Amino acid sequence: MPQLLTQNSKLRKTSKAIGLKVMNFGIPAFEDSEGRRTCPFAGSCADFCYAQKGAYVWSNVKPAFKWRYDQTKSATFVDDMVSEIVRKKADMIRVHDSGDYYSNEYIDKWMAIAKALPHVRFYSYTKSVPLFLSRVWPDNFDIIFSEGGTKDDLIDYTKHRHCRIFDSYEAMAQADYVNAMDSDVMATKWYNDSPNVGLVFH
Amino acid sequence: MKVFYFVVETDDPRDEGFAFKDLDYYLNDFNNDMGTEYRNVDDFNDGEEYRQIYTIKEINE
Repeated sequence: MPQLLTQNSKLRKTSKAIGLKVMNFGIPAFEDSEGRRTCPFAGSCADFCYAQKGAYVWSNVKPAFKWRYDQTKSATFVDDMVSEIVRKKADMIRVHDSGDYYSNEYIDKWMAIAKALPHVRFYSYTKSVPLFLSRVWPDNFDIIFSEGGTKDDLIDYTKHRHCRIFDSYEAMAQADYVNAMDSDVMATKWYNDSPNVGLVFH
Repeated sequence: MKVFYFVVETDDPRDEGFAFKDLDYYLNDFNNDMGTEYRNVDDFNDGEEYRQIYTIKEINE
């Protein structure tokens, strides 16, 4: 049976490096097998999305993402996730190594989870920029707006933490973006003061 | 016939895997660390999307 929370190899290494247990939660990228959009603001990123290839689409992985997506629709999702985080003693949760916030109601559920567990840190890359602009999220939740969506024009680069994908490490350094390739938590406000987060296309 | 186990991080192409003999010890250690309740190889492989245990049987000729 799939787990609500997992730990991919990058977060396993990150966890060892920082001495905290970082786990991830993922749902299908772009849309599920029934055509329901899980990344409603995906733009050009859909053409090269890492979560639509490789390990993410292996036969044992795809059903697990679909199962998790169905769980997010459940009335007990908040309670189930809180229990899972407590049971697994997670210190940080990356919400969506695959998929995105697909509705306001769904965001509300994650905000409720974060408020119930103020000692746990949550973070997300998201292209659902319009769904967050009028929100205030808890201190233990960090949101990184990710370029490549259909609403990039709403990102305020002077104040919003955001992520840009570069062709090379050299280009990333020249643009003065902080490298989050090796350690995922470098994208977050707890490990990086700069709002400029960089990744290199892979 | 001796049995070995080999666990691989399947989402990391650079992972070289880890071989072990004592499955119960490995699963207990993993369960304690990750808050899971795996009791055998099938449980583990069903629940862990990003890692897989292979059972290797050494054939005595």
